[in-house]
Amino acid sequence: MPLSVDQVLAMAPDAASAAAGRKLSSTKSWSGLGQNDDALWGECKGSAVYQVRVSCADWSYKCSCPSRKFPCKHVLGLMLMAAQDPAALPVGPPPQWIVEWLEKRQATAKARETRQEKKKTATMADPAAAARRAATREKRVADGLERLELWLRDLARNGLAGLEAKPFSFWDSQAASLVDAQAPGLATRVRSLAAIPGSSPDWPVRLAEGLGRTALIVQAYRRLAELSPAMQAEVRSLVRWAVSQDELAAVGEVVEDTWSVLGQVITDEDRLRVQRSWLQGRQTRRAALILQFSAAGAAFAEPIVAGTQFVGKLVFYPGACPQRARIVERGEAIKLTGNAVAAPYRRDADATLEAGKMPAPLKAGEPASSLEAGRMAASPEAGRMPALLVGHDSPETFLSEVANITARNPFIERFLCVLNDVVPVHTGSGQWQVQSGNQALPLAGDGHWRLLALSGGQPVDLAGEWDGHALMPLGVMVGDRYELLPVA
Amino acid sequence: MEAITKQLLVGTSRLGGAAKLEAGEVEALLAQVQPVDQEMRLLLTAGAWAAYGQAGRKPLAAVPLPEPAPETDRPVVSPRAARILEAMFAGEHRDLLPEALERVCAAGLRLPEHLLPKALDCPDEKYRPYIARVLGARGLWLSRFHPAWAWATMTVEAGSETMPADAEEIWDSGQIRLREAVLRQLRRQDPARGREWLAGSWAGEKAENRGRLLAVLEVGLSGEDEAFLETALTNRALRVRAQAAELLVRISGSAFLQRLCERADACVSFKPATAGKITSRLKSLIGRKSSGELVISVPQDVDAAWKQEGIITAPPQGVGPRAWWLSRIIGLVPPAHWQERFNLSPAELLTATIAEEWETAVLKGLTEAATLHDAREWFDPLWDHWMGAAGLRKDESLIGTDRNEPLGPLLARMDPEDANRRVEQLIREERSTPFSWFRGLECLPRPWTPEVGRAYLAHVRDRLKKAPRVSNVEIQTLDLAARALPPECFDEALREWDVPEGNDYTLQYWRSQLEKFTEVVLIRQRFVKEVGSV
Repeated sequence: MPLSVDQVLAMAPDAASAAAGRKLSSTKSWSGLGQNDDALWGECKGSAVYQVRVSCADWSYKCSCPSRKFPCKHVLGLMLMAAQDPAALPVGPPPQWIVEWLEKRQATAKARETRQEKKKTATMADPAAAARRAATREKRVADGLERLELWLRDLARNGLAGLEAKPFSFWDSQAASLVDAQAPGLATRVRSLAAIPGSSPDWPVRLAEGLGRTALIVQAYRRLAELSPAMQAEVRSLVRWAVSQDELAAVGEVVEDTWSVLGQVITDEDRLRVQRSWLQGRQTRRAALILQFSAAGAAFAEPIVAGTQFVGKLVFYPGACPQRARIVERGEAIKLTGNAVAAPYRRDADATLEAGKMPAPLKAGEPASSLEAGRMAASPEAGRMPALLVGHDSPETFLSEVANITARNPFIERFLCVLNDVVPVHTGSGQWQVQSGNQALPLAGDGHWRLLALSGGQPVDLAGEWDGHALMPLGVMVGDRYELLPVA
Repeated sequence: MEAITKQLLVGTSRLGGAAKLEAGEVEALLAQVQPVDQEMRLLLTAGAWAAYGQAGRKPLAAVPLPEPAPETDRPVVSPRAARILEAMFAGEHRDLLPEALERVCAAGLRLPEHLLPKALDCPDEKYRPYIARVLGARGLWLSRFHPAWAWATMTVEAGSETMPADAEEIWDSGQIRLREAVLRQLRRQDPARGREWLAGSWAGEKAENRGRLLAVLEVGLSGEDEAFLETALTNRALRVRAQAAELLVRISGSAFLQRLCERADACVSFKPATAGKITSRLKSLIGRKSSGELVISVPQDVDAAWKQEGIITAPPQGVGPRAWWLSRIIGLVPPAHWQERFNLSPAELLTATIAEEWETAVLKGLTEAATLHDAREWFDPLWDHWMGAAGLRKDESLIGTDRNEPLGPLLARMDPEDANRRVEQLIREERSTPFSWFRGLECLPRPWTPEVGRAYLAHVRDRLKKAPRVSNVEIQTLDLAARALPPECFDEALREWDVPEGNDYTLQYWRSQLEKFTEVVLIRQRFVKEVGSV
């Protein structure tokens, strides 16, 4: 089991599940435990006997219990046991129900492929019908935007003061109307605005910004034709994030690399959970954001575990400065290893990054090429993995990268931020920041005590999410280990 | 952006006129958009400024860096051990923390960095002394950045061999636990100054703290403390007076001790044995030769001065006031006083006949006195006497408010080895004594010796085998045993427990208690394996 206990616990949907999983992580509640290269399995005795199985390929899982939490405590217990004491799960031939499960999963995957093929041919077969459908959809979106604009105008007219007293339904009904209009991207945006009023002393500014950006998107969508193809794709995805998989496969750029999952932020918006996973390619140094949504407590479709890495392919959603991606192909997820190579190599890697660095603005449509030089140079001798965290060595260079990206795509609001050799500081006035030389970046939220403890006041390499205002630390290198940080 | 935000906050309907937009590039951009109303203009401007702001963000100014943590530190515990500790800090079996942390400390290890914030946040004060010792240099460094964690440095300093530099500050403003610690420290080095500190703050101390602080004077106690203790005898709180009295009687030659002995002497006298008395003949029948008779005469009413001087407390329910006074008085007088006065050894004194109504009170008093004055030569004779035939007749109602008194404290005062041996014997003999084996187990230092552990486990297994359906005290002791068994007994404790099939209440009780028992022992076993049983 290449997953650590911490990583398994991080998958728990809540603290209660984690505790319950821990309780079930001793062999006494289990029978028929086993594992092979493909799966872990076991039968757990609860109020009935539940069959629990976990795929080793991507940590997807299934349990026959009726729990509505995903993963359920039985799955967590099984994975914890495997992480703590692999010997508890003897290697052996899988029982029939495991064989069936694995077969069924394969069959489903194949079925999906054929379905896509069929769909593709169908679309080609009847372009007229496809165009009709597209027109209807556009009409609905346009109507939805009309209503959204009206709502925004009302807000501006009546003023934002007092919005903190509005119930969630005030925001949600507008969001629901956007869902009906097939603009779920905007719907999610409106729901996330609901959390801003009253949340911090500067909420009016944040809300003004959020509403302003929403207005810009509406405006941009209206004038889609005037935009470059890349920006068109970007704006479309902001309005309705569900770019179909076929479409994505056709136009998205595919990048193969060893992808490190540097951190994950999960936000709960009423019934909708949004998961943002930040990945970085170890060879290409490409940053990727994988967004997943789940409704009503269901599991996220793609299991992505922070602090792991996998060799695989990501496809990037088309747009200016593509950042959002999804996984098309992945190998086994293994625990993140740190600087396999000692310090001198690290400096090398820094130098190469310097050479092919982001500040030289990437032209839309050819994002990989200008990094190509960096990739080639960063490619170490065979078998050696480049250092895990290679990023900016000063806040200034990071911010100028943000400026560059924003200049090409003003709709990107979040960035992966990797900083080398920064010192976390709790300032006298109770603020948190990371410093390098005479520059500093503010940290988001409060209580970065674990980060401070891990750093010991020394410079560290850090990964985080920058939201245009402050940095939310996601993980930090401690010696050779990558330690995940709790996301407040 | 601020100007835009303000206008949006108020709303255009209340702006009374056109919205004021910041001129410049944004204005030029807006001009390219189809004619829009002022609401939309405001919003679009806000959106544009949000993007401009994001692109134009500048680094903040750095502040002076604090001193980094010391580079050399103890090694950290293994990741497995860290996970067990993390669960305990999160509240799972938190009561196992002291033992676990003590093991970490004894192994020369410290907590890993990621656990430090949780450890420093530990809300339960009683764990803090244990936590403080495994924070390491890194943890102490970290604690200085958070006012709520100031206890860490204070605790480490208060527990160290040398007087902390800021001892006076701790004394003036620290938590009571830390104040006790520095006072104890000071008393070791400079008893007079320690007394002066306490005397200086005495008037302003909270009533509930006075007794605790006064008890610290036990360290370095001498005749010089007498005057201060005498003033404490006039305190309004009975607890403080009783505490002062217990200290004064330990200053040989103190006036209070003399007054006390006079009172005690008036109550107790000794008549050497004369042949023919029925009781003494009875005693010789069961193999105990009486040395004589202790004649007791307790006044009908209590002297007001007794009350004032903290000798008398209210008798517990079911105990006669005069018997209570007697046991309190004898409980304070050094047992050596009686040895000298009647010229008898402890064993001889204990075989003396006593009128039945006073017997338990005298025995209880002597036991308390031996414990208080650490009169070790009395420990064995007293224990044997209680456990012997004499003890069997004792009226349990006088034993005390706490059912473990007075033998529990006596057991705790004994050498751990002796204490363990005594309890082991109790378990093995399985006979009825006024002080049962399970009470003895509660009073033993933890962990128990392997001998006690084995005797205990054998006994419980035997009971489960012979009488599984009889509700008994053994089931209730499992909770304690899970936490007190020594590592040497873990394997034996974890061996399969055969609870017969069935749904009786008692069988279910056995099962649930054994499940909890096994869980706790397993956690302890895993931890010991990780950290070592140093």
